[in-house]
Amino acid sequence: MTPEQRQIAAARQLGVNRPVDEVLDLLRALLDFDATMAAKRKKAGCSIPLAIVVAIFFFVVAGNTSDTTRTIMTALALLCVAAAIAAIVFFLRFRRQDLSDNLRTAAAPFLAVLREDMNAGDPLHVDIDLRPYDIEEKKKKQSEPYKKGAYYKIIDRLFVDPWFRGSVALADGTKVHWKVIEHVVKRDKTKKTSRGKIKSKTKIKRKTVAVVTLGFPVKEYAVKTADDVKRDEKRTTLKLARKRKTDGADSPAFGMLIDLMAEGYKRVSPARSA
Amino acid sequence: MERCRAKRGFFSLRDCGEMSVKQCALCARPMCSQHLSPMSGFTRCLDCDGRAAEKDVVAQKSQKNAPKPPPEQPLSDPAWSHRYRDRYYSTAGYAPIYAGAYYDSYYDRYDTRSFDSDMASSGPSTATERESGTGIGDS
Repeated sequence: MTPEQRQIAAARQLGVNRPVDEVLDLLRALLDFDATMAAKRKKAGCSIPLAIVVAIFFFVVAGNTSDTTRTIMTALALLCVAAAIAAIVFFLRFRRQDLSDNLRTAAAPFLAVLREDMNAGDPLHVDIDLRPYDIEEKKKKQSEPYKKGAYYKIIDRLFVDPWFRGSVALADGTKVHWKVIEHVVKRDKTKKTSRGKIKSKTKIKRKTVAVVTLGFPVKEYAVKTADDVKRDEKRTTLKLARKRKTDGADSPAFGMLIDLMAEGYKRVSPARSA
Repeated sequence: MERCRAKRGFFSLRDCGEMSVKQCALCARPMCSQHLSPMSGFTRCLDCDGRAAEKDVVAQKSQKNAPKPPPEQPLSDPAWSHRYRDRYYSTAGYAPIYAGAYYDSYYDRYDTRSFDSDMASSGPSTATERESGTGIGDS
């Protein structure tokens, strides 16, 4: 990776305005980096329980053998404990470098589709926040702990994550602006079971808001008059928005942005004449 | 030397217009180097490659215990956008706007909306190299 790519991966924030192919190259490098980190994290994560189990095994054997073997077994057990600690450290470090899945599931495919409608070398302005949605900076509200049913402690947290926005001029002269904002409610619930165990559970509800503004050139496209249409001498501007509620981990932003743009194009008809 | 017959674009389609270097082994259309699929050893065009991949995925989905298809690679796979375009047009019922000048029956399966056909026939300065001189009308 280049120093710039390393810097972006460390900050997990991307804000560029440059030719579309350069932006896509940058995203490709970030996706490769993320895949490599995910593989390393998985390896470190699997090593932790393995090292602990082997350490316990050596401790048990050490406790049931004679002096010389006991020393060797204890040393091996301690080595496994050290390996487990190292694996935990690496796992946490790799987890801190994890990029949001929004890059893979929404931003990359959307920009790949937009690229098709652009001329090579045309600039693309894009801001992508690849930090997780549940960081302190994105927390907008937190409820006081309250009781409900069997749960004696429930805390609701609202996070607002405006993670994706950008603008571009397409090959047909249409100007596109878009932004995606995720509103995530995270509910942590804790209860005591009849056996006296304390159990906690986290539920996530996500509302994704996507807004697309399309500025169609008057010479090329005719747009039917409506409340959300603004006109000037050169352009007819259409602002379209959509909300979608989901419970899953993946953002539905890609499909929403494509559908909004398609909806905008469905409302115009070609106006150019010979 | 003929012009590449691939169409660029997603929401609106336009002619590629580059000089062709080879014919696609499946559809026999002349293609430029950018529209030949590296996955097929540059023998098939991205449209044919995308449609074939999409067909495989649909066939796999209908089979029980079929292996999971590999994750999609929008930025690494040059055929991905063509494949997604074909899928989106057929599932979402989207009719792209056609702003080109070359008629190509390969795209007849898509409903397209075109600019005035007079424009298509009088089109850009390369009119002499055109085949039929008519644009794709509303279908």
